[in-house]
Amino acid sequence: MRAMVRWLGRRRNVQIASLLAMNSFFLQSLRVVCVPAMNCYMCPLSVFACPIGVMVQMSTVVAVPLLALGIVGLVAAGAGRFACGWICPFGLMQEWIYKLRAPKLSLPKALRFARYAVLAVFVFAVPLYYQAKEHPLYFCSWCPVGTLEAAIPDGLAKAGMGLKPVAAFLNASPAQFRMAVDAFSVGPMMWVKWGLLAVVLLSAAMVKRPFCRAICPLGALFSLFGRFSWLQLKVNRERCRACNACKKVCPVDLEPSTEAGSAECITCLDCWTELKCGGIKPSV
Amino acid sequence: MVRIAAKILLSVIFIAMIVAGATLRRHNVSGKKVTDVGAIAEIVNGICLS
Repeated sequence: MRAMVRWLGRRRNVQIASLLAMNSFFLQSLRVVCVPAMNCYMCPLSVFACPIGVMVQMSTVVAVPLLALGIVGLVAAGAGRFACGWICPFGLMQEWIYKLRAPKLSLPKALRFARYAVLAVFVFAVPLYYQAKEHPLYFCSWCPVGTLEAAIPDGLAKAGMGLKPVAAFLNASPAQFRMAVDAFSVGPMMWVKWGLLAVVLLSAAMVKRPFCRAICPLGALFSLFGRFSWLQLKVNRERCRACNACKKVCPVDLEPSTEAGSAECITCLDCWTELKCGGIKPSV
Repeated sequence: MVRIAAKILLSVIFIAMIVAGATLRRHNVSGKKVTDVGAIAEIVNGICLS
């Protein structure tokens, strides 16, 4: 039991477990439930529905997405952006990519506000305006997570001509992969989709979690709803030596000694668990 | 005290939203009224809401 608690206390283990749970393929009857993370429901392996995808579709019929907003809001009210740090598969992927050898840069602070614009414009305003099932300006039309998790496997499946999507994904030959790229390169947003995915993946090697910090509309919702979350990070000024060691471990490049609990903090708790100084502690 | 009240109120509002979304039949899918759960099932299956 103690070993299990210790295992669950490790963020990376929880991230990997949630990645597998969200994409386990066999529990697809759960697709009617929104998971508070960016995981495209069009992915052949996906188990849950993406709340942003649901919000976009419901905006097209001028309906308030009560269930999706309620789930996201309740998670945010409980623990802020905890889901970003602990269960989001795309966040985990960016953290892995950042481990690659590449020049490391910092993201301009002004880009932090871009995700609010993405949420307001591409998730709510544009679908409310056009009210069509699909439109190139909808967030889902160019979402890098959707391109990676749904467009690529779907294209592979099309190229496989009868192969099941999962099998196609695992068994695709280079020629089939090229056919898949061709199959999915047709459409008004192809260059934007592929280009944005490439930019996000390449920049993730140089900047810590660029998608989460500059684009993710779900992160923006978490930040808005998590303003008064029960779980908060507090800085103990008596113990903090302002050594900035916490900045090095922070996966979103914050200075936790001054920015702990801010709208950008993903409540990963690394500044508490990785450092033994006790300068930062979670409190309820 | 005000912060705790705000936290409780927010949590209650979000729980109420989940309950309402799961129980109220608000969406019209192929001439049938469905809840948010039903609507999400249709969205995932690629069927238009109206």
